[in-house]
Amino acid sequence: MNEKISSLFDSEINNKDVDTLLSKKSKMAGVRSSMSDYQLISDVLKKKTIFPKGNLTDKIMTAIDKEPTQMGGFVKANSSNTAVMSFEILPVLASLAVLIVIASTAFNIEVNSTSTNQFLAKEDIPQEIINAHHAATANNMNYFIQVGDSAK
Amino acid sequence: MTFFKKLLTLLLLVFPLLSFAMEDPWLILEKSAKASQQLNYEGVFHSQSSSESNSTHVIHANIDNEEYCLLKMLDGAPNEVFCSGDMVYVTSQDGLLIKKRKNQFLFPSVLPSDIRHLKKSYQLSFGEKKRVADRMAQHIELKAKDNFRFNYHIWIDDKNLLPLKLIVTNNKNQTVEQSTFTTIAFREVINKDIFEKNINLSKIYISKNKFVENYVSNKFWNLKDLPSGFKEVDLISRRVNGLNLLDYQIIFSDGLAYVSLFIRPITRGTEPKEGSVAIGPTNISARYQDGYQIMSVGMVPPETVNTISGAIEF
Repeated sequence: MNEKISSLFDSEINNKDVDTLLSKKSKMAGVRSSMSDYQLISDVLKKKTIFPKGNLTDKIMTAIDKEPTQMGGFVKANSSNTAVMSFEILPVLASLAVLIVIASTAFNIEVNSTSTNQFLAKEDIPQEIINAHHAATANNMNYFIQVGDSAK
Repeated sequence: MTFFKKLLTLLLLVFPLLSFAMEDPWLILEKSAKASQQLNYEGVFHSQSSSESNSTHVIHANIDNEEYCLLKMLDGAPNEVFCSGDMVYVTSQDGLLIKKRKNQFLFPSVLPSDIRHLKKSYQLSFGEKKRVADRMAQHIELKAKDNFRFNYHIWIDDKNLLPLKLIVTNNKNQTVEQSTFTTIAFREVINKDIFEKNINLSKIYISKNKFVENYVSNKFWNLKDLPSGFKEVDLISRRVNGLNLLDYQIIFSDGLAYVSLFIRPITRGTEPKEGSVAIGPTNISARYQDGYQIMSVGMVPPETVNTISGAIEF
């Protein structure tokens, strides 16, 4: 059933299965719930604006509450129950994962950007620049003489 | 003597005085610039900036309308500068360096030949006369009209108008640089042999310095909003050591102050620099643009180097 629901939102379902799925949706609450979850995942993946009908946080918290909690030691869990819970939490976790990826992309700081320019210090001034300036402009002979040093 | 004859005599006496009084006061600077090129003299002058001071022995002569000078450092290494027309020969411990003089005005030849340009940027006033190197000298102040330049105080010889003393002050009236003769003697004739014994003028010297200067034919930059009064007076390009790249030095002047603007390609592994800094009386401003490190350098206020480094665009 879930495969068919997934195919529906991936536009890969055939016409016959669409009719079957829609008839079950009107009758079975579980199918409606699954379709709602798959719709949410599909919207996130297609980057559509999401307006969840219910409170998303409430849904996540409800899903987490339904998860079996291990309180020390290994408790033999009800296998059928666990399977249902795992299936229900999967789309929520997938949604969370997608949201985390989108958020991290949006707030990512470019690591390999061009290095920022450094503030100028006296040591950054090449002596040859000072000498070249004085060589062409100074009226003080001492500066003028220093041209010889730059020519080394 | 009739009344008309008396009046005529009076006019003849007064007219030259009136014409002297009405003469453009700026002309004295033009005459002073000519005096520094034409007079024959020998003396010692002392130069001081915020970080250094030194004494120099100078011999200057004008022989057959050709200017010769010989300057010898009296402190530190016995370096010498010999000038013959536009050519300048610097002899130091590193050997001989030959340059062509374009903007070089070594003291006392600090004034430009054309003083009209100075009027835009400086206000001229006459101060008191005082003795400099045992000679009477007239104080002339060139006060900057804006904050883009320093103030220049020049004392010129009362008789032959040669500049005997120069003090450059900032807008807080602090001395930035000064040069002054301590002894000077003027001569009718100076023999050419004095200069030729230091350097063989008939010999052709080949410069071996690595900074081979080329002259730029194509400029890939534009300049806008330069500080008032400053104009481009020279452009030099040099090959970057080991690279097939050129860097450029554009020289700006208002007639007395000079600023060099360097445009240097950033080589691999070099981080571009931005900001401004002062080394003694010299201010430097750096900026980065489109792969080039731009630096302006000059003994001018920080505003001037900042404005000039920001004036260039590609």
